[in-house]
Amino acid sequence: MDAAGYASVAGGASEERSADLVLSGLRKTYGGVVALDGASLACFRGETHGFVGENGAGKSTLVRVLSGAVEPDAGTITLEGQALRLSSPADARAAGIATVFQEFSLIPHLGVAQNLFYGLEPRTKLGRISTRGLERAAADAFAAHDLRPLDPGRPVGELRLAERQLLEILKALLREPRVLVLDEPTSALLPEQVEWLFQTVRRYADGGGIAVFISHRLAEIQTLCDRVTVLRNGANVGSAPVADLPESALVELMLGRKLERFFPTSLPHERVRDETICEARGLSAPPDLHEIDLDVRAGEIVGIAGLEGQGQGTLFKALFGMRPANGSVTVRGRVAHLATPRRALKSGIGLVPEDRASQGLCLTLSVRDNIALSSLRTVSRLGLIDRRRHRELVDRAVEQFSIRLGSPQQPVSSLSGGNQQKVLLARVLATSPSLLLLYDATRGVDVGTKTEIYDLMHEICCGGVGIVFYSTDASELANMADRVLVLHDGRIRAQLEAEEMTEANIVAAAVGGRGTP
Amino acid sequence: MSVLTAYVVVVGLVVAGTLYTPGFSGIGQLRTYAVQASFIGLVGLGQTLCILTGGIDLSVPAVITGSAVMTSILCHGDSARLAPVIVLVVCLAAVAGVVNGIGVAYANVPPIIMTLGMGGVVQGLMLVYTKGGISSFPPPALARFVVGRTLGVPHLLWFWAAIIATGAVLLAVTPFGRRLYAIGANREAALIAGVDVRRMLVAPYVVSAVGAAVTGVLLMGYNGQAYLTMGDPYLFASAAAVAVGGASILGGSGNYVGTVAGALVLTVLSALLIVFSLGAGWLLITYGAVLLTAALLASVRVQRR
Repeated sequence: MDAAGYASVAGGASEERSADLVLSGLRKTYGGVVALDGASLACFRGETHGFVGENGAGKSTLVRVLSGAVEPDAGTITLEGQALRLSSPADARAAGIATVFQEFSLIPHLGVAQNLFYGLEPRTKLGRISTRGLERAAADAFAAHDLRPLDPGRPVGELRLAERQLLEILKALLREPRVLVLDEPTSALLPEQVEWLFQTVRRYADGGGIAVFISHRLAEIQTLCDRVTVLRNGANVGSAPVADLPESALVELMLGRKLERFFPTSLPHERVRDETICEARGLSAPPDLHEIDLDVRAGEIVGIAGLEGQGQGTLFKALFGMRPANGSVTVRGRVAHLATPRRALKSGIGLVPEDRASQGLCLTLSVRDNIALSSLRTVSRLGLIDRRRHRELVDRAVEQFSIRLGSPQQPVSSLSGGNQQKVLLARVLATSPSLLLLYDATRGVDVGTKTEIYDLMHEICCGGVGIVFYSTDASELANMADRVLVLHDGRIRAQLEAEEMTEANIVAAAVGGRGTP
Repeated sequence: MSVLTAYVVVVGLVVAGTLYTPGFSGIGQLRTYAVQASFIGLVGLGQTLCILTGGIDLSVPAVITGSAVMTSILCHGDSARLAPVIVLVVCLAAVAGVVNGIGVAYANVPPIIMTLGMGGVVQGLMLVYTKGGISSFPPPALARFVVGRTLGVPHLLWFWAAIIATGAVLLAVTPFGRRLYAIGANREAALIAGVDVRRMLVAPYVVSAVGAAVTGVLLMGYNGQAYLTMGDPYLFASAAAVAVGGASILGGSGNYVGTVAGALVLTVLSALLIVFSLGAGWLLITYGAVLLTAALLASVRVQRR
C-alpha cells in the first residue's frame, strides 16, 4: 500500500461519537517558516493517542500550542465541547492540560517535594507552607504511583536525568489533568522505567483521561498507543488505530515515500582491514572512567553502549582532548598528545559532539564558514584564505553529503536539523581524520537523514577511517557496528561481536542481566 | 542596522546639516569630520574585535589618556625622543592588553570586570606618576605629522585608510578573522572545531590597547596637549560606533567597515548637535540612546530566532 492509501484510512475512520479533544485547522508561521499548516488532532477520553512525525514536521509546535506556550495564527481547540483559548501556560493549566516537556520544568535548587507540589503546596492554618505536610504528601504520591520514593528534601539539581524525568511525569499526574501530553518522555529512561511509564499512562487513560504520547521510537507507539496521528510538513497525513498501521507503514507516512531499507546492506567485514588505526591503553579519568583499552581498525565501526552516564561522555572527551586523562593513545602508530581538541584534530581524531546546537555548530554563521572552520589553514595561502580553494572545499562537501540548501552563504540555523547534522559531519570530515568519534550523531535526526548518515558512515569506513560510535539506540548499534563495547561504571563490562551482537543482548548487557560474560 | 544603512545615515545627516546651515558640508568641514572620526575609528578596530567575540574593552579611555600623558612627559617637547617613546608606550599598552586578554581567556573573568579593573589600575598609575598635574606640549614633529597633509589629504586619514584596509582584510579573508567570528557565535563549538579559543581571545584586547595607545599619541598631537580626561569620550564613542555599524553587541556578527560608518555617523551627529546649539549633555544622551537601541535590536533579533 502506498502513502496515499494510508491517508485514506484517516478519511475513512469517521468516528461515531465526536472526539473529546479536538484541535483543528492549526496554523503557525515563524517569520515565513510554516511550522503548522492546518494540522489537526482528535482524541477520545480513555485513549492513548500516539503522535509522530519527522523532525520539523511540526510536532513540537503543536505541543507548544497545547501547553499554551505558543498561540496559533489560526485554528481552534475544543476540549469536551468547550472551545479553549490558550494564550499562556496558565490558561492550559486551568483547562486541565498538563504537558511533560523534553526540556525540564523543574527548578534545580528546590527540593523534590517542593517541585512536585509547586503551586499546590499544603498550607498550615496560618497559611504557611508546611514542610512536614509537603514531605508526607510527596511520600504518598510516590506510593500511589508505585515509584521508588526519592528523598523529598533533596534538590532536584542533584538528581540523575532519569529521576528528574520521572519526577516531571509524576508532577504532571499530581495535577490530575484532563489531558496529559508526554513529549518524548522515554529518551532518558531505563527499560524498567519505561515499563512503569506505560503502566501509569494506561491506568491514567483507563481512568478517563486523554493521553497524547509523542515519541521517535515507533515501537513504543505500537506498544502503548490505541490510535496514532502522523504529521508531515505541518499537516496531518493520516490518523488510524495503531493496529492498522505497522511500523513500516508509519515510516512511509512520515516520510511521504517508501523507505527501501534502513541500514546499509553490505556485509561489515568487507570494509574492515587488518590495520590498527587507534590504540588506547589504560585510559582513565577518575572517577568517571577507568582503565579503558580500545583498538579500532581501519574501516571498523566500534559501537559504544551503556546506560546513561556510565562513562561514555568521558571516554569521548578524553579521546578528543576535552578531559585530561591518564593512559596512552596512538593514532596510526603515532603517540597522540591529547591536550586540547586542536591537538586531537592534528593527531587525526575528529568528533561529532552530542549537542549540535550548543557544541557542534556556529548557528548564526553561514554554511560555508561552518564547513571550512576546521580546515582554514589548508585553504589558505600566505595567511590569506584562498577564495577558490575555500569554495571548492565547501562545494565538494555540499555535494558529497547532499546538503540541501539555497546558497552556502545562508546561515546554518536556516537549515533543517538533518541538514545541520550533515554540515557538522562535513566540517569534521574535511579535516580527513583517521578516527571519527560519533557521539549519538543520529539523535533528534529524522528517519530519512538517519539512513543517509548510516550510508555516509559506511562510505567513510570504506575509505579506511575507523569510527567509534556511541548511540542510545541499541538497534542502531546492532545494525551498524562491527563490535559493541558496553560500558558500566566507567569500565568495559562486555564486548559483543558477530551473532551475539543483537539489540536484546546490548540492552541486557547495559542493564546488567543476560549477555554479561 | 546594516553597514549600508549606516553609510546612508551618514549622508542623510550631512544633507540635513547642510539644509540647516549651508556651511555644514564645506570641504574643510568634511575633512574635519573625517579626522575626528578617525580617532573613534582607530579605537574602534580593537573594540570591534572585542565585541565580535562577545566581550568589550572598557579600559580604552585610561589607555588613551595614559599613553598621551606619558608621551608628552617623556618627550618633553623633544622630537628626537618621539620614536623610542612611542615604541615604549605601545609596548606598555600591549602588556595591559595581554593582561586583559589573559584574564578574560584563561581566568574566565567577565570582560566587563576585567577591563574595568585594568582601566582603574592604568588611570591610578597615571595619577601616581603625574601627581595630578601635567604641563607639557607635544614634540613639534608629532604636531607637524598630525596636522600635515599629503596630496591634500591629512596624514591622519592616510593612516586610518591603511588601518581600514588592514582591518577589513583581517576579518574577511584571514583564518584569524573567521575564527574570531566562530568564537563569537559559539565558543564551545569553535573549541571543538579545533580553534585555539583561549589564545585567540587574547588578541582583540591587545589590538584594542595598542589602538588606544596610538590614538592617545595622535590625539595629543591634534589637541596640542595632554589632559587627564582626554580619553573619556572614546569608550562610549567606540562601543556605539561598533553598534551603529551593524555588529551584534552579543558577539558573532559585524565588521570593521561597519564600525567606520558608525564612527562617521557619531561624528557628524555631534557636529549637527552643535549646529543646533545643543551641548555636550545632548551628545551623551544621543550616544547612550544609540547604544541602547542597538543592544535592544540585537536582543530582539536573538529572541526571534
